Amino acid sequence: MAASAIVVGIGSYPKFGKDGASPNDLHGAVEDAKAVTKWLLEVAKAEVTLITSDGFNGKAWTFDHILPIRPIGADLNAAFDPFAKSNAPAMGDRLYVYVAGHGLAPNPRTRCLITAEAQLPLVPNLEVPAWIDWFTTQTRFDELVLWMDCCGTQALDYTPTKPTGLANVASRAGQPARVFMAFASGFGRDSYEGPIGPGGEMRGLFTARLLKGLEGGAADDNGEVRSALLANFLRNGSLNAAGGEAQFAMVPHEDDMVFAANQPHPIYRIRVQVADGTDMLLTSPPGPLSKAAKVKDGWVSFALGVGLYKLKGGGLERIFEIGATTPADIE
Amino acid sequence: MPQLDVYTNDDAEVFVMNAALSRVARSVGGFSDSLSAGLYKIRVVRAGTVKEQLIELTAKPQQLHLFVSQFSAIAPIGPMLTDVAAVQTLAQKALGKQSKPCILVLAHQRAETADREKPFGGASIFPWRSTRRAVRLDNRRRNASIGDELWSAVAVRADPADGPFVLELNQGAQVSRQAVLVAEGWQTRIFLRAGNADTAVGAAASATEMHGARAKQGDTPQFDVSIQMARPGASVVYSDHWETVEVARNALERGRAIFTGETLVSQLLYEKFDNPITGLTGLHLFLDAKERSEAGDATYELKSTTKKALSREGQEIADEVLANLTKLLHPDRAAAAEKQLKDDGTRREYWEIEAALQEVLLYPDPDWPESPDLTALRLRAGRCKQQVFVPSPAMFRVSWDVLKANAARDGLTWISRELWSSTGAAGSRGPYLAWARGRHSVERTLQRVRDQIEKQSYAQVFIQQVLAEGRTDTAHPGAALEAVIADHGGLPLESAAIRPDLEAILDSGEDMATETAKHELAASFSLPLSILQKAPRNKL
Repeated sequence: MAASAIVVGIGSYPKFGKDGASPNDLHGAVEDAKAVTKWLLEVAKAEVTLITSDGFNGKAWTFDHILPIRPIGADLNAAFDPFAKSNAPAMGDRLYVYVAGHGLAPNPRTRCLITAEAQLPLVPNLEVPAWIDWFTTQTRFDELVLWMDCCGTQALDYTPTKPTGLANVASRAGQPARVFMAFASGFGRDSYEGPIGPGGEMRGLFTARLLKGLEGGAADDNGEVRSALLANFLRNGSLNAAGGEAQFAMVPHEDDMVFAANQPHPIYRIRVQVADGTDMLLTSPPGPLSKAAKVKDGWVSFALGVGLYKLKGGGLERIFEIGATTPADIE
Repeated sequence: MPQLDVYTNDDAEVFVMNAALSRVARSVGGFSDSLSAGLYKIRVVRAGTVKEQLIELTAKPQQLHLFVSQFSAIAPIGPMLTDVAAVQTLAQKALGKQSKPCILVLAHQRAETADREKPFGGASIFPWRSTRRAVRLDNRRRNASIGDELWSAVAVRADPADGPFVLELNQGAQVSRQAVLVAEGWQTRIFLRAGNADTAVGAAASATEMHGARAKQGDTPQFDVSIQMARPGASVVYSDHWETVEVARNALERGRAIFTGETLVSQLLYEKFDNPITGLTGLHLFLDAKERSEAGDATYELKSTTKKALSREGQEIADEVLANLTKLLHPDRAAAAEKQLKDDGTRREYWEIEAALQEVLLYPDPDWPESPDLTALRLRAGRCKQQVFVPSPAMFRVSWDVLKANAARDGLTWISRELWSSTGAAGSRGPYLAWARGRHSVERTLQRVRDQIEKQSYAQVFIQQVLAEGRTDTAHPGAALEAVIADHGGLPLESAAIRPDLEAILDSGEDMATETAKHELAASFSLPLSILQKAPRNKL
């Protein structure tokens, strides 16, 4: 059966500023949602329901006195409801859920997406992992994937909101459905967007790294992107000068599943202080990997996936790592 | 196989990752084991600060020294201060010749942006049940410029009989409150650090990447909080192993169960005598690790060497800490219990009295109201036999969640509607429970739930219309949803599906609703069930 997907990108928060009245918008969330939708359509071949600040599946929101700002939690729950309330015992192999927007974490093990009508001190939200938890006990889907590009910080006054009134109409016997869950940051940490999109447009850092991993950065030697390597990719990379734990994603759940096949490794350039033309040998002990390349203009290039590597040649020996935060040019 | 030894701080987590960057080992306070030859990454994490090293393990053993000596601390840690004596002097001046019990508040922030007249940003402290006795901290401040920071100190009289106390902070559009534990014979210390360094940004972004919204210069300082205790007269500045008080606070905030190594568990057993809050924090973390180990994660198991060194198993450690914390925080209860054992006519040896006293102090006593945090720990350790009335908010968020989860007519705790009206759903500040100032009645809470449920049906109508019209953009129109609707003759609207029982609660109160409906409502919205139920006779 086809995969299904619910993709949410909330960029407009018209009243969520610190003073309780001004905006607190995210400039990359809607485009991030569209970028993930593109991957889901083209690579995962999923059927996507897209909810953004602009509208639902291409139709602009209507606003009135009951719903003056959207999308709200009810809009998101309404997208899940058909999957939850259908009488069909199985609806697909996999359900993807991607959300981008402001977020909070009520405890270390979960994350909430703040919805558009938030206004301090009130922080309406949807605890998206609660939907996943419910689906794992049902037969609707065999695999659940959740990616949340949201902060994991704390809020002062909120009601953590789980989906309500769900009956076990299609309970799964035996093992629960498999789950892959990744959050942009650890508990109590912010997540960030930066000018990393085309033309310097703002994009979420986690989403950019997630897509980089799915498109080959986390592929194994056969070009397959599976849970373990994707999790390793998201959790690792070059440590910046501040040495903070905040820069890495959190992957609380990583049951094995395949996300993509035939994905090429990205090319990385490594700076080497040896003469041009020198032969450099790349290995990754104890594995069998052995690649050779010549130095050109002070750099040597290799197509690499996530992991640790040793580069040797011209009297130089160095170990480096490839992860989500590793830049394309490694100094 | 070659041996790898990693030496680090006693309270630092060590992660070992192989060439695929998969985690192969985790420990606390160091690592020592044999591993296959190959490439490894060693990551050490302490209070959110990370150090890493990449190595190749060959036939020869290797030793690494990865110590984290600097981390983002709220409480004053000696090696991280520019002038320890100046901070001590400032604190001493604030305390003056104070002989009565008091709360010492010490704040620090970047001098260039600080308001010297209001360094505490309008914060106040008052007894839990008496806002009229609020003391504004700015009115009694003492300031000192130390390095590039402004330090401010104030001491506020705090009779434990009036406790707990409440710290109220202005945070821009919000005014937050949180409970502050005070106890006979102890001085509570509140450390505040204005979050203007924003170390998280530097930690997460490269030079070309920027954070979104920031607080503007000149705004009310947004404080991070650390609450500790000490004997009156003890040093305010922490040094040596006392840095662990900050590491433990950070670990509780982040959900890192670090109390698994021998050194930290020893500190938990013995050194809470200098700071009971270390005991509360550490026991929560110890029980976190115990729960994870019992759930199947062997990396959180208490090592056999640790059990042997301490001559105790996990439950015994938890019991000993609980009994000791009761003595430290409620010495009157301990003294009364000891006297009763001595005077009850039964002949006992000294060690038998001690053993009997330990057993008595494991459990709450309805005649001796206690700290809600202590009650929460008893619940987690399985040491509650009868229902406990929760008199006030807990200091720690994790404690409050445990108390809420057990609050029911047939549960082990009772949270009244009156208590709920003070805190409402509440949130967090660091590891602490925090709530917005104002009244949070149960009726108001349920009204917000009703609003949410009502909007659900309204939203569904719109979505159904979209799907019926077949509007699409470049995204797929959601054929799966269309198929469901087509097969089942329409989308089941929430308004039609709102259970009559939930309607009854929302409209008429708990008398009209079934217990099942109340359970469901409480579970869905993380409410204590007790606020939806009639209070037991003895709680009225």
